[in-house]
Amino acid sequence: MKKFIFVCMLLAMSLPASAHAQDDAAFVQNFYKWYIAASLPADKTPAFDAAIEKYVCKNTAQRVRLDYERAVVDADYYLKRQDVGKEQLDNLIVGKPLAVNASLSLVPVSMSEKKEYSPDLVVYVEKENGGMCISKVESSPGPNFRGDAY
Amino acid sequence: MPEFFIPVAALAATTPQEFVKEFYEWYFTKDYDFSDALKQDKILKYVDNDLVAYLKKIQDSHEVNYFTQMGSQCSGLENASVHVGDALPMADNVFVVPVTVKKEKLKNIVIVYVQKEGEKFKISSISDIYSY
Repeated sequence: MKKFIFVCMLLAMSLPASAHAQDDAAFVQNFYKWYIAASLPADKTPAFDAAIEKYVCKNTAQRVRLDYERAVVDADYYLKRQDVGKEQLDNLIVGKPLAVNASLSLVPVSMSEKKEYSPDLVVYVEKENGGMCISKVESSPGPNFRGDAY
Repeated sequence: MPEFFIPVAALAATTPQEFVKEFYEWYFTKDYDFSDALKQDKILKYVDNDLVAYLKKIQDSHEVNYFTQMGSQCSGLENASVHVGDALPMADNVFVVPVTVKKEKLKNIVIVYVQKEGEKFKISSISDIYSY
């Protein structure tokens, strides 16, 4: 009986963490489903759509828009690719997040043409006051550098 | 006094976490500042050659130490404690490893990207944890 109670306690202790991890992955999956679909029409740039702030932290969304307006980037910030197509949507796979601490997790994202899990995007998800937002996206081949401050 | 042969491979880090911990322990034991670190031959054991070459080019125009993501003049981290988190496996044998550096009131977290080639690891990128 004692062993059963101990196992139940362990399970209860592990639940919030795994539920949280699942939330992060689902959140990132929903963002990319929306973002890629919104990018498909040739005249659409969803980085400028106010709806992006449902997923992306306000400062990050603003900074990306400034980059686009100044033409200082040569690829889509959120996808790290120049071309966006339906195949990215079809091949989208979000992996298991890694918690850095209570307020930040890293979520791996794959859009491999090989149609297998081969993640090359690291999505930084910040958590605060029960909400979450994407604060940064990096490419895992790298190298990544912080841009000049505005 | 008998001498024992220890194969080099047996001493090498076998996981990205061990490798990253070894790098930062070396770095903080010597308490290098950014430009001194770039002059050390041993830096090429840990950091990708192209990245080292690029960092040498930009070192005078950047106020941040790329390895610690703290001020380039920030010293006094000798023997700082280094805590390495779990590794996030990515495509093409890249691993993403969060590292927490602590010494007294100083605390900073960096995200280290490690590329595995054969049996060897090399640092290919390092980021801070702050928003873009």
